[in-house]
Amino acid sequence: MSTPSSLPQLSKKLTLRQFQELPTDLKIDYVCSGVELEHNFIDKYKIIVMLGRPRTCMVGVLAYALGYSYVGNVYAPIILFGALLSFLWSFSANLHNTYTDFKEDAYNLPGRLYLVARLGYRNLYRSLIVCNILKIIIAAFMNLPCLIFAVLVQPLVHQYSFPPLRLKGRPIIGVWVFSLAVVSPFVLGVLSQQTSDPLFSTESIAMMLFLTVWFMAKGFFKNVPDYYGDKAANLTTSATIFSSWKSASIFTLACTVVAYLALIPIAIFNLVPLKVLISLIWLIPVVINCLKLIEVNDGAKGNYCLKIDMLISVGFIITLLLLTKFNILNIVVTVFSLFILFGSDWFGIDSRRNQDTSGGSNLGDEMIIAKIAWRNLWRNRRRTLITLCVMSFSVAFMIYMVSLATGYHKGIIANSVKAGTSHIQIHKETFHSVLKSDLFLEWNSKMEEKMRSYNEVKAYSLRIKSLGLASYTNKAQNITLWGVNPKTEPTISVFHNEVKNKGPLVEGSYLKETDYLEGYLDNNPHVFHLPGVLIGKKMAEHFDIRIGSSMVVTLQSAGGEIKQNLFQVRGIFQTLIPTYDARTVIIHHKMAQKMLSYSSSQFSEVAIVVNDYSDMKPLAEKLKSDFSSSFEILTWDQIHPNLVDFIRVDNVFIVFFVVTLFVVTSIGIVITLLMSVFERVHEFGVMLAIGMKESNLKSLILAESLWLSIVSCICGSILISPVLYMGQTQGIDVSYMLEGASLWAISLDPTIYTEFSLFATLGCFALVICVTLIVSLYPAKKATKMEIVQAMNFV
Amino acid sequence: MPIYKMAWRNIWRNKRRTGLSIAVVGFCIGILILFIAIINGLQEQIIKSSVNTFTSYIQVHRKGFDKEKSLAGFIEKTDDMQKQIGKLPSVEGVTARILSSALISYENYSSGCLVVGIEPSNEKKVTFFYRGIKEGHFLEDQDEDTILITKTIAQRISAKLNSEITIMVQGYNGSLEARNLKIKGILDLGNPELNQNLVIVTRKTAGELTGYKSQKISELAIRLKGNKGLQKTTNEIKNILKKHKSFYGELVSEKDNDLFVEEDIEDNFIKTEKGIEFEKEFEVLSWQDLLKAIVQFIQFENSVVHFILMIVYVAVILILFNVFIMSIMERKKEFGIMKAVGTKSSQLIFMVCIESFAIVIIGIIVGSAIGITASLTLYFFPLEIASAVDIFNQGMLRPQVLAILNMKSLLLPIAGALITGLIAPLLACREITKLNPAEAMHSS
Repeated sequence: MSTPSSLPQLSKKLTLRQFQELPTDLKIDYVCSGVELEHNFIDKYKIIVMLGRPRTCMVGVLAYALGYSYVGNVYAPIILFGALLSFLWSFSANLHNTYTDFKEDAYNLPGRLYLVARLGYRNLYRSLIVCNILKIIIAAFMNLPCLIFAVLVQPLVHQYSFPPLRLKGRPIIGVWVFSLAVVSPFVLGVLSQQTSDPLFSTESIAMMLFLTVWFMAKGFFKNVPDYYGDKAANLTTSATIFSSWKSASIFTLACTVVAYLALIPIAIFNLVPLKVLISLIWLIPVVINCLKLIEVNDGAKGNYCLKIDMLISVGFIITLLLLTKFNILNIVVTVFSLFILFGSDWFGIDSRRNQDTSGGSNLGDEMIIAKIAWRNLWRNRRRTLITLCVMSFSVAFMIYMVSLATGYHKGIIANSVKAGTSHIQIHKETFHSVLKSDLFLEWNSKMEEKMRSYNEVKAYSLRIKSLGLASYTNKAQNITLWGVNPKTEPTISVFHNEVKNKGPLVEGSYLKETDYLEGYLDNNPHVFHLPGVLIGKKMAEHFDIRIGSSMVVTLQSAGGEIKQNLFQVRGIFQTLIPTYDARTVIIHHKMAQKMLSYSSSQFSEVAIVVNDYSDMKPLAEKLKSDFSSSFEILTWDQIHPNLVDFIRVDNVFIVFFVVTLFVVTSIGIVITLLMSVFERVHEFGVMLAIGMKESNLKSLILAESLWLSIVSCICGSILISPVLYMGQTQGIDVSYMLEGASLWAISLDPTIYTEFSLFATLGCFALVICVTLIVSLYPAKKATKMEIVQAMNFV
Repeated sequence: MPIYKMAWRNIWRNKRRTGLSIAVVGFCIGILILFIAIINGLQEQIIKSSVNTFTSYIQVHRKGFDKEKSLAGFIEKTDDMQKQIGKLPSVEGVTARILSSALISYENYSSGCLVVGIEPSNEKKVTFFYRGIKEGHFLEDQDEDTILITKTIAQRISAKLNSEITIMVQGYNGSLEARNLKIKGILDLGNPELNQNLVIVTRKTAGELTGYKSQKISELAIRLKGNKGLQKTTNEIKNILKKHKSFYGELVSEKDNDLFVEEDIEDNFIKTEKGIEFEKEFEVLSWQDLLKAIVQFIQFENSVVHFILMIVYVAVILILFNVFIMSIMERKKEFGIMKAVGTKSSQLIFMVCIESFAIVIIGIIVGSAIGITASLTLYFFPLEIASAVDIFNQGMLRPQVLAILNMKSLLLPIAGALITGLIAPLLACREITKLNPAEAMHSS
């Protein structure tokens, strides 16, 4: 390698064209001489992103989501970290490749080499190190297994392109390491589970093996287009071990078909759901593409096949992901991946662009297009403003609906938990459905100790529940009796609260510690103390009973005898559930134990409130394994399937609404863009005539719609934020609905609060931007399908 | 050329834009018709389910009974009343019921419940809960010592078919009555609230338990031939009740038959004899009064639907604003020439308005066609849904996604579209009036 000093022309800054005119060796020398053409910070980062090729990294993120689908339901920050790490794996592998293989790139992709020159060869190395450190830090934020795994995988990623092992130079093991690009994110997904279930199930291992085989086939495919180049360079790859291109590609075809079909036996052994086989529909384009590969017998065309194959692979893995688990997380991941996949061309964040292989474009193009697009928009100010109005309005509305739904649904759960359901209830088996008084549980110090040992438990209380009859004068009402501990019960329910006449306690006071005593207290012969009782407003109205009056409660004890006792009404509570208010009677647990002939350690229910809703399921699992099987451990959603269902139905409703609004808006966008395209037919004709590329014209129109969507996202958020703030602080009062409220699943607080969710809002933005870009493809196509001469004559 | 003809040709000058505008309006109308029809269907089913399972269309009882549910509030001598109400053209069936709280027990278990005494053959004409029999048989008119209980209560007291249970009721004069009854059938009423509470006996058994004997009842439940004329029938029933008297509680219960008074002396009687009340002492409640929670639910749901309608149309109006402004801007030169040769602004505005209405009306036709077809499809082929949502569990009718077209579902979206058609060309009209012919003619 010659020193830079012997090449005087290399000391100065070269433009891309000058660079491309250099002989290949000089190109390499030029880059190695440590030039750093770019001084703009932001552009440097952009170049790093381009060299990392985000487009190719999405398979990893999708594989991560697939892995996580096997183990988790919980949306925790760990998912974000995991997705980021999976992304960085491929990203850094690409950077490694660029660093080690820039000599090969000098032949194949001079444009990419120029990017390295602009960034600076040393900066590339620094970014590599930063990337690797970042990966370990992110893994450390996840959990221990993830960290260990990340550390284990790191040398493989490094040695894939770096000497001494340079695994990519070995036919079989190289392809295996290549397959880690999807397998390791998948494993990471499995490792980032939130519950304490065993880490790997047979199902997830089967899927892991399938992914290995599948991506190895991709590895074989990837090597075929480089067949002649590698052969010339005397490199041994999985392709060059064959005698000809044809035999190598036939082998690839066979491997690919076998890899895809491997899904069938997995499905037969019931390791994946049968419907997953639908994804095999991708086999058709895959085979066609492979046959084409056999036919082309040429590096450049082979590369085109490779690009198609990559697209098909992403399509396949998305189908696989959505068929495995169809949830919001996976939809978001899919949308995001598609966005990056198709968006990387529009944003110019891929370094394997067509321009780069052939040369002739530079980084500034996108900026110029974006600028022109922005100015174009404001040429017809009114039209743009009205379009922006429509879009901002829809965006604002979408955010509002999503926030409202989030807050509303959270409120449903929180209220129902506070109204006494609590997150987890433990009873004797079948107690919940029959409420029989002989199904009690024996509470001992061992259980208490165990309960204290769980970190997830925020508070718990012991209760007694029984069915009975309440009577006052000649009226009677069948009731559900709750014997509660006035000391611990306020930590899990809210009947002790009195909020501005809104309740739940609307009159009187909560039970006191002494409310189980009966007789003349403190030797005061004038006041006969009766045990206290809290009743619901409906019952109070029905009985026409007031605070201080006494009523009779009749129960059947565990032994079967009928017991009656006189109680004095201490307080009246009001919820929004009519049946609850008409039926529930709350007394002191000691009184309930006395009436039911329970000993002081016998209870019917342990009600547990956890710190966070996401702790509920894991804790229930723990309880199930720790407590004897004669207990039923019910979580909130099992106690109130009606509310869970309600939330589901409500979601359908909201999706329907958002989609409707969105279809309307997107037709509006199409109209506007189409009109603006036809207005400028003449202009486009001139631009095409002076040599503008069709693809640039397309990008111009897409950039206009991108601007529209970005601005409307910003405007919409600004518009809705005061409303959201109001909704979050003051809420929407629906108390005028009275009894109807319970049918809307509102149980305690008739105020619906909105809750801003960043995750959902970003999802909305992504949706808006994607939909806008997709619908503007039509006007973009219209613009590029013009006859230049006709267009120029068009007035 | 007449203005309307010109307008018609104008809208087809830019087929793509017109097509898309029609698509927007049509899509909105289509989807909203379907949406409102589905909401209608759900509401209709919820009401039907509740009304047909137990509530019935109209209930007659003593004033205050609905709230108090006390045995002191009974109505008396209802046979004649029942016959007269049954003769009303819109009434399908009438039945008498006795309602009381009770305690039933079997072996070691007991449970509070609501015992309902029915006239089995009449009840079948009013409500359909006899279809909810899961085991055993429904009651017969002459049955005496048999009872129907719900599956939830059966589970709670561990009773089975043909078990002999004990029922305890505090009669209206305060005495405690108990009786052994055999379980003849086990019911599933689809509504958790009813399932937890209801036990059914014949009116005769209930009369003996409550001390009502054969003369007194708690309520009359009435079924209509259709939901139409609910208010009218309620008024007719009130008219019939005017001629009847009812007696309040124990005050006059001993005097009984002596107090059947002639119509003409009614008014004097109220003042002189304490304890006799007339028509105003009955309450005639339609299901709308009885199912307040559902009615409130539906009202709120309707306001949500209106809100959605409004939002969607605001978006459509904004889009059409754009369309018309663009179509005007395109024809600026043309309008300039027209103005120069003497066309009045009002004529041009008229033309644009016609264009707008033409688009909206075509949109309405296309949209209604789509909406109606979709709704009819869902009407004839409803989708079954299994759901635990409270509002769907009002009775034995399982909820379906069923679209029911009515005037509301058609008119609301169409009215919205027409208003859109009115507002949409406004901005464009302003543009026309501002147009300066000389400048406009020179614009390219």
